Amino acid sequence: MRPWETIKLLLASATGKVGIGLFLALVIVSIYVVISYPLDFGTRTWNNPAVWADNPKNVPPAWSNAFTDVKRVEHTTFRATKPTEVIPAQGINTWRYTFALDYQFDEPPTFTSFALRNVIYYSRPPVITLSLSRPDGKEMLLYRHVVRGPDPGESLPVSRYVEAPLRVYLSGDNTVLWNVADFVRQEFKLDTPLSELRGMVDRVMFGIPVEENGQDFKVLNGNYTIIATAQVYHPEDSIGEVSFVLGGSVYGVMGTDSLGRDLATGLVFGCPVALLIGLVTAVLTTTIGAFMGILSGYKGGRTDTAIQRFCDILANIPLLPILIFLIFIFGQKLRLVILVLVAFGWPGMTILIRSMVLQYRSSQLVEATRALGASPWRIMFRHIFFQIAPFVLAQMIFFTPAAILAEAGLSFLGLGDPSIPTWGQILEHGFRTGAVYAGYWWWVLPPGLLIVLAATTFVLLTLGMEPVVNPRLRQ
Amino acid sequence: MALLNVSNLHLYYRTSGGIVPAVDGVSFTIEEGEALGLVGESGAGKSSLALALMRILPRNIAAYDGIIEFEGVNCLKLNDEEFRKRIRWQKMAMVFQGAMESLNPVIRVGHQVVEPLLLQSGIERQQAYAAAQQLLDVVLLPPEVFHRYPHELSGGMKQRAMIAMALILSPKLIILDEPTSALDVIIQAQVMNLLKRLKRELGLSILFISHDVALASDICDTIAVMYAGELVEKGTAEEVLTEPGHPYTQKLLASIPKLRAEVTPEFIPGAPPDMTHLPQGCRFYPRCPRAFEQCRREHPLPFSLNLRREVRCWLFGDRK
Amino acid sequence: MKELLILEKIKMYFQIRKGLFRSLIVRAVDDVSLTLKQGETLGIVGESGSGKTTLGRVSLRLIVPTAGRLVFDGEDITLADDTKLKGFRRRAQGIFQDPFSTIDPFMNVYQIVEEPLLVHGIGDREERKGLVCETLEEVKLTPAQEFMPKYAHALSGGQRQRIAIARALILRPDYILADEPISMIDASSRAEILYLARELQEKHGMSFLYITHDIATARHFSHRIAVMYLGKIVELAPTSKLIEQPCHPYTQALIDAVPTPDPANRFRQRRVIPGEPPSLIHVPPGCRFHPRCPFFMPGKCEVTEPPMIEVREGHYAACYLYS
Repeated sequence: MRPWETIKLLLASATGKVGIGLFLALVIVSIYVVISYPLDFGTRTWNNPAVWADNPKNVPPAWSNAFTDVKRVEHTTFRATKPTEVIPAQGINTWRYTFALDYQFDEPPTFTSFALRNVIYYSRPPVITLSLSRPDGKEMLLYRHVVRGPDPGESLPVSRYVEAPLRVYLSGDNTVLWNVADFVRQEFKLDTPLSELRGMVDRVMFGIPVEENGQDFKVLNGNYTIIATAQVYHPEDSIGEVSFVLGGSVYGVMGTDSLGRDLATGLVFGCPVALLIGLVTAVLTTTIGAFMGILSGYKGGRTDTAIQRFCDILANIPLLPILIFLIFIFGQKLRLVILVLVAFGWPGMTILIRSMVLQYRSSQLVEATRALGASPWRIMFRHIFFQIAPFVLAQMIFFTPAAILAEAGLSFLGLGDPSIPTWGQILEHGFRTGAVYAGYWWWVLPPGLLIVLAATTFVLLTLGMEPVVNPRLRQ
Repeated sequence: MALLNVSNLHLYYRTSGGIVPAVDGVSFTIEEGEALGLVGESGAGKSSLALALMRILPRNIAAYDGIIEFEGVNCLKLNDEEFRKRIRWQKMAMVFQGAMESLNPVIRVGHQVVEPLLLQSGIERQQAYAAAQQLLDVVLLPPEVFHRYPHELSGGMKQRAMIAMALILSPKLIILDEPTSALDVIIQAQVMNLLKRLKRELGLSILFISHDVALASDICDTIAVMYAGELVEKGTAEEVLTEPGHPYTQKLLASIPKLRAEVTPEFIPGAPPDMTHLPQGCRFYPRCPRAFEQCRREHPLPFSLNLRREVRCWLFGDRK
Repeated sequence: MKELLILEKIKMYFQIRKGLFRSLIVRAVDDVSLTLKQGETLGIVGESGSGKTTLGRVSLRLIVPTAGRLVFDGEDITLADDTKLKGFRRRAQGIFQDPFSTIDPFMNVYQIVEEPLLVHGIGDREERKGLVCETLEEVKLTPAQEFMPKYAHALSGGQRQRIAIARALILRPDYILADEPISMIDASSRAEILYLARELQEKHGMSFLYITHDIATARHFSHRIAVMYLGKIVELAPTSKLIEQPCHPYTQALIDAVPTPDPANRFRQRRVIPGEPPSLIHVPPGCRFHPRCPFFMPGKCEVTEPPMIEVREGHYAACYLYS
């Protein structure tokens, strides 16, 4: 059948349409990933703790707030590389960074932190302050810090906080604690002892006291502004990045795992990987299997026996121990997984193709072509192959979900390639760290569902392809 | 009253290419004890006509109407249940094309022959089996065939078993659709001899469908020639075979290779029309050696030459 | 006239396995000798099980005979290897029974007819195109340009069979095996193919081995006819002689069994021999036809096989009636 006719047939049935639709969706996501993610996403980003340091650990996605009574704090990171405004004053510039925050949550943040990166100064070290402007009009001074001056022997310009940023956990910092105590005394006329305020810094920052007792603070909703200022003494001074993290209990589109990794990025990245593994394995397996099947079926005799026995042997070798053994020698590599899947997958195809070819071998077409004087290779690959091609194609499509599931399974057992995050890997990590028992549904369900979705896509495509393979099913 | 009276029967299929008028206004009668031969090329609609009579219809029917009167009963007015109980196999039975392959390979032949009888109420098992055994004898099969499996029988024997199965309920009319096409010529002659005997001894009426006119003439009293869904000629065997009227019949007869004569067989160039795009005029026009202008423009009517003779061709009449 | 193809004492036995230890032998062709002269059509007539198709396949060396010799244009090719066979295949071609499965549905007409040229490395692109065009016109598939891009499913049975003929013809072979070439074509279109073949024979002088179960068509398209029964040739004669004065009772039975469009036929039972051909595994002793023969002579026919005797000039029969 011509390719165009094949596609038309596929689109004729409902299953075909849905299958193609899903497949296109997967392809589009994959293209997006290939364009926007770095190739070494796995090693550089996913497995790099520094990237995820600011994220909360094990939190559900932001939209889960819609289903809970309590609106939990959405973990937000505010970053600025340039000040919102610069206030000049006699050679000393005050750089002002403002972050606006509409606080509509029902809980105080789990933590707050402030970070400074890449400071370079040419004369006096800059002075940094951090304050919070609240919806009730009050302003809290939280923190004040002078960047460390030049060490003996250090020449100007001096750079600070390059390899590691200055990170201040406001929730646990003593300076901040004193400032907060001052604030509470001045603004609310409360005399809360320091020991009590110690665990309550965030509650105070974003709350107002509950009437009489003064021990308790309830959340104050409204517009807050986080203001960081830097007094800079030289026009060439620079500050790389100023950031403020509002620790939340929900994060992002798909939540985070135990290392704080944004699951959404991982899951999206897994899409082209799954497709790649599935398709590459399927294509290789069916190609090798079909070739061997045609050879075995047409040539017959000793070739047939040899290939068949070889298939029998392969079918009886257990896949897992071999894979574990190879991983032990060569390390956990994706190529190894694919290799093993292909090596143990092609015999099944061979047996199927062989029986089809046996039928064709005694057909009149083959007889007539032999009478012409055509060589066996020509008969096999110019004539017989096209008769079985639709079936081979259907098998290829059908084998893809098997490959995807196999890889997921292997990753789940810990045999996958950790440098490339796949859905199976994410699942494995979740099980290993007990996410299932802790009820972290956002971590465990999506990868599983995505694996099922990818597999279903190909199954639907195969079902849609049935009329191509079996002409009697055509309308 | 004729045993079977078919009048203006239509059977149209719905296909992806369009509507196929497989049986397009066919009328004929079969008297008791008469054998009617329905001849024509493959695709002419002969098998469809047989299926229409037996009401074994596929799913993609676009039209099924007309009159099928069996012993005065209008079959098309009966619902499926009634037709099955009263007419099908009781009164009218069929031996299909390639019937030998329709036998169930895992059931013994005798048990398959007896099955329609067992499904009837009021028959004892013993009686039924005896009747089946006797029928096998009538079709000249040795008695042990009853207990054999289909694969143990030859083609000719299987065909006889199928004829026995058709006769088991003593129908008045049997329809035979290419009953001998898969058989060798000597076995074919044997089966034809059997059919002739059965016709005479049981008073059977026969509708004999074949693409081989010579074969049909071996048993048929009347012959109807079908082309592109229509009957183009009808008449007694003598008339149609010795003095064919319709040019198609003439060509059909001329293309039979004659063993004894020197004259070489003719052929009809071209092919039958595409049933989804039939021309407005005569359907045989493109291949007809005696066609003229009217044939192209107008669809010919059937003209009666005498009581039993009809030719659908402008050579035999004019529109009144 | 030159003897083009000689089949000498050809035996073709097949072993089929029945059960773990026993294996049975099917004697499909049992000691057949034939000579095909240049430019002639030899008809092989027989019913199913006669061995005619198997004989045809042996004649094209598609299978290696169990015994006997196959000589083509003076060269013994019975056991020839592939390289020697290649030369034979260039000069010997085949047309087979089923027009629907004899051509590749995935190739268009041009590719199908071109294939023999590619297989034997003849001509460059331009030359091949020219040859294909020419051959298509010879088989009356004109205009050739219109047919070349078509695929099998768009053609009728008769047209497909012509494509098969064109494919066999394009190498200008000396010998063509035609195995039931018209039995799956509509009765009213059959003669057309036979006339085409005859025309081509007159033009190019090739020989045909025409295998059929239909003695009537063999009559109109063979110079000589050989009648086969159960793996052996029972009669061989020039066509008109065989039909008008058949010697062997089986030939007579075949002729009697052919239907004719005579309306009086329905009033009489046709003369026919009883029974069916037995299986090729258990061949009757002596003359294989004796269980059904109306002229059976006990003590003779079931004991030894009758030899092939020249009853009249050029007319051979294997029957004790003549010895």
